[in-house]
Amino acid sequence: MLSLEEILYMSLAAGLLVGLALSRGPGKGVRAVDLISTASILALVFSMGLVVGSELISIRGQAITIVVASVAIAVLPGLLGSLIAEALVRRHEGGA
Amino acid sequence: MREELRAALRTVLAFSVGIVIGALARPEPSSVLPYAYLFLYLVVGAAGVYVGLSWRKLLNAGRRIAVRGLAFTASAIAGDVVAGLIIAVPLGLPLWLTVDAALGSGWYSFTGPFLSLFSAAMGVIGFVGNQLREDLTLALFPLLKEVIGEGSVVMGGATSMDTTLGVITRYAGPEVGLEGMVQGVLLTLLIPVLLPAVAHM
Repeated sequence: MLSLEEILYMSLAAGLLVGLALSRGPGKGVRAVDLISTASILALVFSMGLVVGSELISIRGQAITIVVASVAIAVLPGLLGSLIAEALVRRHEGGA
Repeated sequence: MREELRAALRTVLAFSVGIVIGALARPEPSSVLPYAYLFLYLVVGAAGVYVGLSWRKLLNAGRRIAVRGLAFTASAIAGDVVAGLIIAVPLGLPLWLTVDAALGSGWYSFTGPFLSLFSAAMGVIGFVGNQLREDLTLALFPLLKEVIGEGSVVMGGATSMDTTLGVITRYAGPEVGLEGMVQGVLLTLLIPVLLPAVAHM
């Protein structure tokens, strides 16, 4: 039996091969990929909502932590990464 | 930009409807998760297709763009890991799952569902946090570009190959747009590999 990770890697690799094949064609399959992608994202997010909803009572006590953590995850990683990237770019171009 | 907004609203609506139905019907997570796994594989497979479709454009991008795109990718991962550790400790959250939430780099449709397989609360944080990161990039990129510089492309993370590519190209120019695309493609390839590995640390 394959693990979650193994199937994830295989899905990614299979998608990559399909994408490479499609990039050589006239682009007719792209619309189908858009449809499958949108539908699977919505279905995935909906099923995730079902799981979260079924455990709503147990996570209700963590509401403030969840809000604070969500805002922090939205802001801090991107901001820190941007500052590191800008420092790298300036150092590289200053040295060039 | 309207299409991006519609897509974001659609996912928020699907998530909210799921929560309401889940709270009312209280299904066993074990009866929902097999379907969630299937959709997760489809989402990752479709992301792979988009990467494959962009490959030729990237191969033609040139050395300077590739090098800067790589530097942005490395910076994104470093920023995500450090921020995840900084956020987890004071809030008392599971350390490596919080690092995972940060490593999502804006890819909320993967990160949220993936983390909900471990903890419902972390699933919500992964989903909402990364959705907000994408929204903030769309809204604030012009300002960030002025204050920080071109490195602010990292704010877009994995979304810089699709959703936020338009705003990056519009305000930082086509060359930086391509660098963002390199970053987005590499992060889209790395996130499905990194998140499971970090979650099991």
